[in-house]
Amino acid sequence: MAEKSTSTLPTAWRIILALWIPVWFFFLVWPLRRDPSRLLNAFSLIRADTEARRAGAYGEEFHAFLNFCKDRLPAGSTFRLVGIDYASIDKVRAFYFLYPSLVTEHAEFILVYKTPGYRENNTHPYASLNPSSFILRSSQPAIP
Amino acid sequence: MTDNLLGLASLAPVTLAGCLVLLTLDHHGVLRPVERLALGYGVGNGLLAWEMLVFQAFGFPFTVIGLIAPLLGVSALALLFARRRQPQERRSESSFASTSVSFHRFEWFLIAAIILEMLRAFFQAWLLPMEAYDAVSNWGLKAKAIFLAGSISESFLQNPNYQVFHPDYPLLVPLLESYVYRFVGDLREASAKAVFPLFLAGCVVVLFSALRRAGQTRRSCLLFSFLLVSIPYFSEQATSGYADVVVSFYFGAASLYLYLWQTTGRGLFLALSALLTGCAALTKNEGVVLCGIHLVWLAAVLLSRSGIAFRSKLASLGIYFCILAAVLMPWYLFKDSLGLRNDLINREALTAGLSWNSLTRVGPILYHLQTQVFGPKNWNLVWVLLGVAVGLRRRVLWRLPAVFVLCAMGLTLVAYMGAYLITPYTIPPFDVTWHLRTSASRLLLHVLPQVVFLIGLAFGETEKV
Repeated sequence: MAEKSTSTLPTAWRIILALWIPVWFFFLVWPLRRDPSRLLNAFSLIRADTEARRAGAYGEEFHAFLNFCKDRLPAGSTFRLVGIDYASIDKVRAFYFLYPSLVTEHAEFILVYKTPGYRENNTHPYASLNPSSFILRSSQPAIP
Repeated sequence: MTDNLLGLASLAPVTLAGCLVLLTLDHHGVLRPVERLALGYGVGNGLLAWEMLVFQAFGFPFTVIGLIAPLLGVSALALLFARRRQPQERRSESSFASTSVSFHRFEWFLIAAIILEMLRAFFQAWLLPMEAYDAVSNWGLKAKAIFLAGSISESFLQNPNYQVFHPDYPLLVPLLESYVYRFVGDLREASAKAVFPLFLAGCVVVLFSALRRAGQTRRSCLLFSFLLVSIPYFSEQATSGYADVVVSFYFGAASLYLYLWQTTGRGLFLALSALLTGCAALTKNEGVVLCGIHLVWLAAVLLSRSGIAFRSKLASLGIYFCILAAVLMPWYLFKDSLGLRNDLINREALTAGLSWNSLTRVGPILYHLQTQVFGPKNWNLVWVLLGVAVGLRRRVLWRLPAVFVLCAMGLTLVAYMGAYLITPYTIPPFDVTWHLRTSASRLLLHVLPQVVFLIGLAFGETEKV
């Protein structure tokens, strides 16, 4: 350990800084150099409201679908997702966004995303965003 | 920006309560104002979560006034009581050099870089909604449920369809987020996300203070504080809504104050360490491992010391344990009452995982660790520096008292990586490699303040006497 403080930097510090700062600076700037639109997106998000920012993060299409479902689902309803991979981040975002509507296997509403022509027995169309994304309502009682 | 300001405003009374508690404990004025503020933020948040768990046990609703008034009232009363008992003892005994010396250009550069990184973290946290995986599934969803229910929704935690989101995980972060929502009066995610960069700032202040107390010069403390805050993965994780930066703060501060207790013998540092370790265990289940490691560290220090009465040693250990138990009891009683258990690390997983077969996972674990050590995109050169420090500065790091920090850190990593030997992920693509890829690097964050502290001890510059 160096034992006194002088205006010159200890050699160990010089070596550390000579290695550290270029790496720090590179990874600070490199993402912007590779994709300059990130900076523009960040600036555009500054003026955006919460929902626009969420749309940017979730993806416009998926966000529109979730908003559509949230508007149409009655309070305290149960739902199930179709067309969204079980392990995907979209699934957890949907669970989060749609809460307090609860997910369950035998749900009252089936939220179909990007699956045109999807049908199930004992269900009928409830609301439609577009031909591939819509809500089916089960005619059987839901089991929470 | 309003969101950020509202978030900060909601946390101000909680921080004040934490500062009052610290003033109560700090009879001799040992803590410096900024250090007290950072610790007060952490302790205040821990107390708030603890209070909410106690409220839940008694069936009290979570209202803003109902939460803040007792917190501030009790902490202010405790301070008044402590001041009345020992009015003449209080004087500043801070070991920092308090004469104001102007900053050199190098120090200005470091201060600017630290401020730049902090502002970047606050900006990122404000700019993005809750969108990362665990931020929404583990923490955000529970926070939303608590906010909407006005209490911890037991039916939600017991809902089998949400078991995949680990209902047994401790609730400090969701409780904090739900408190911010309640204070703001709306589910403003950007306000709740202000919690996380503040913990990052807390880590930097605590590291600076600990290095200063260890005798380092101001510029040395600034240098290593800069190294900590400029680790890309660390600042990035302080913006995403994950709980790991919170554990980094609690565990880091708890370890560093345990180290300071070891070097100074001050009871304040021991109590602080216990309180902060308890808060780490209220944040994530990994905190329980950290409690065990700190207890072992404490016991080892006490046993290695001769000339101290056995009763006194037992008292130190007893106080530490009692503080931990008091902090953790409301959560574990609540968890037990709901019958919640960990779905990954449990008795069955231990029984099934304890076989020679599980040793085949050592290869993927070591490979993953190697990708982190030589992963400058995430870690800059911090792990390489640690390796160099441990190799070259053996006279500092392999000797008392620093060796205890080194061993505690090593033990933590061994315990964390040991868990991957038994986790029930066996079938690709959800095998141990996937599990490591999705979680192990975040666990390394928990020991980051200690890592930089050790690098600071090894390569730092001591104050002229």
